[in-house]
Amino acid sequence: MIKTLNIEKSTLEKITAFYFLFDSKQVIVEASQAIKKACPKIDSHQTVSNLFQIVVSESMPDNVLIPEEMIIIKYKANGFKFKGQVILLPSESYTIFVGSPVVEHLEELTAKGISLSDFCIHDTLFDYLMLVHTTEQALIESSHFEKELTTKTEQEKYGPAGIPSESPFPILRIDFNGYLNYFNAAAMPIVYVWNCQKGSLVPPLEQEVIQTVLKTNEIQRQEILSSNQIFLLEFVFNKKSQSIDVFGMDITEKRAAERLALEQRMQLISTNRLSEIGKMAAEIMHEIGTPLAIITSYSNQIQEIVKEELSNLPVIIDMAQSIEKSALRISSVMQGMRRLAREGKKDPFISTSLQLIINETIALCRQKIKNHEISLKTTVISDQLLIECRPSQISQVLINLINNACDAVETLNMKWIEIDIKEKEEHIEISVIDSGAGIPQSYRSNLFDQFFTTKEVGKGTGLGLGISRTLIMEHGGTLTLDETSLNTRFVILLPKNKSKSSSIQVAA
Amino acid sequence: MYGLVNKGLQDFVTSKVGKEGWNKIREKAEVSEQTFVSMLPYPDEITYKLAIAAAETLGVSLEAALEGFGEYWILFTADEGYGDLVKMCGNNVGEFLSNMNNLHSRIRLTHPALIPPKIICTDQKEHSLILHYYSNRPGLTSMMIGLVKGLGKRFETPATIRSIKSKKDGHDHDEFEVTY
Ligand code: HEM
Repeated sequence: MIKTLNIEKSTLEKITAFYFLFDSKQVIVEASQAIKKACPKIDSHQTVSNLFQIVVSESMPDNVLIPEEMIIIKYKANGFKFKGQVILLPSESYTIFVGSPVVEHLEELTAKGISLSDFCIHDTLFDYLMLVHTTEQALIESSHFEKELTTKTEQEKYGPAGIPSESPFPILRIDFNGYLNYFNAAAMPIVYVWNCQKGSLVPPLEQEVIQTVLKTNEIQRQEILSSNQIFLLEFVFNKKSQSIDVFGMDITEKRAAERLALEQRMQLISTNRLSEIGKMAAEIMHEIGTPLAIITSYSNQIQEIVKEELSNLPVIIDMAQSIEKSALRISSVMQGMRRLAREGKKDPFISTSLQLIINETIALCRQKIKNHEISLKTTVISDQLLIECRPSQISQVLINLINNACDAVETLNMKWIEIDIKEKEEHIEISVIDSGAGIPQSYRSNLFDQFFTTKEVGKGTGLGLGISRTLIMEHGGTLTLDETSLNTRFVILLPKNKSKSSSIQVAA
Repeated sequence: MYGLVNKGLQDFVTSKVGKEGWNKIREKAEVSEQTFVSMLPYPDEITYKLAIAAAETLGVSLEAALEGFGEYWILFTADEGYGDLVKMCGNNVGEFLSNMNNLHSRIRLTHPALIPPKIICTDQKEHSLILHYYSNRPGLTSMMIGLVKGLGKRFETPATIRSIKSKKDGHDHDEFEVTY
């Protein structure tokens, strides 16, 4: 119970949230929770005139509290104002001030920590403030809408009439002088490739196309490659807008399908070609197989005889050794050719000595390497290092890499190729490194495309890196370009099978 | 529901899947409105359809999506120009929740088509209360759960909310124990 009033304080606060009571000497004796939040010092038995300034009192000078007239009091400490009236409580010797805050915005209340529950439910001040707030919000929102609308109409105005900017097809408009006037969102990749923006000149090639359209009045077509899409562009003369309109179509998928068909055709051709070689090799094998056997066995015998009886004739030994070597080499070439000639797809995976594969492969390329005076360095590994593979395919991939390397270094001063083999914990790493300075950035992204080649027609035979990669992938391995290497370095990683021994040493 | 709610949902979903993602959801839900006006009432159906399509796209249950939205709503209203209004509602989870009826009733004065929930707090202790949630709408219970969790985040006091009675079990309203 408030000592001065016959009413619960909490009840009174529900009737009037902002009030204080003072005695005849104007000493404040009681104040509501809500008014205390706005005027923290109100509790300390201060006088009304100490704490507040009376700013409006209709007919009387300041600081006179006339009962039952509207007054505005200002809390001196922070300037917070209340509008209200003072009422004498006849049965008591107290006077009460009741009022409500003079504020324009909710934030003036939140700044004082006054909350929603401080207001009486019937009090419309809060509703008034909310109305102001809501109106403001609505205004802000409508100005957002207005902005959106203007940008949209502007786009309409400057964009090609009737062509929605949301069209999924690239649309561009270029004036007769080659300046890009408009493009929609879908045309972004094209604008990016052209490296231009609204108002700038399109590249020379496209300028030429525009001139052709103007001269011939015929639709011109052009293909353009962005980072991962291929577009077919149609340049059309637009009489009405006096411009060239460019309509694009994403033909990436179409091209991919064509490529696949081409690949299959090439595969057929290469199978054909390889089977020819295979036949040839078989014939050659048959023809020279027996003589080779004779050469090998005779040279062996000669060496034995010479060792025993004519130990002072090292020349003969040398000769005999070279007979044997060359015979072995011929045999190796033949074996390699036969391997290479196999298409390999249906071959079973067999455990094969990696050294054997490497030797046979090198034997096939040796002539080319020699002709170009390229020095070849290989890692010597144990014969016992076996890999589970289709030997013909590994050999094909290696030949491809070595051939590429030969072509790349052929015109350089320093010409070398290194085949480096490392045995890792789970993999065998075969690197083909050449003295070239790496692959130019611009070629890297489509290096492994099935038919990508930088070589002139007729030169880029063989498998291509795309198919090579596929073959290695079929072995559960990877074929990558080491972009960090100073020299050009292709790396084949093949999963290891339980290889028996692993002595690796380097030999020039 | 008023456009503000749909705007909030749009904002929430866009923050997860981007503008394009939202447009796809809008198409999926067959909602043609590209923007919502906060001050205009829209059929509830729109909000439900959007929430269902959003949940599908986000790969979560409708309940989880609504809970996420409830949590987001606290942030959204504080950001979207209602910051002062939100501040007016109190300085802790309990005070805030007790003011919700008052708040929605006041909002109703300027938004005459509002059908607000009834949120009543009883058994108030220093760090807990029982929350009674009455709604004319079906299926928004998980949004209520998210809202309370969002408040916990707002006041940096992890709030827990546990269902005591559920409309699903035939009660006329949901009842929760909230601690904070
Ligand atoms: C400034 C803050 C807020 C505003 C402006 C606001 C406004 C709204 C609006 C416009 C609706 C839609 C009702 C309709 O259009 O018919 C709504 C619904 C709802 N609000 Fe709020 N709200 C706010 C804060 C909150 C908070 C903090 C909570 C809970 C803790 C809450 C709980 C709910 C619930 C549960 C609904 C669903 C309606 C139903 O169950 O039928 N709101 N609110």
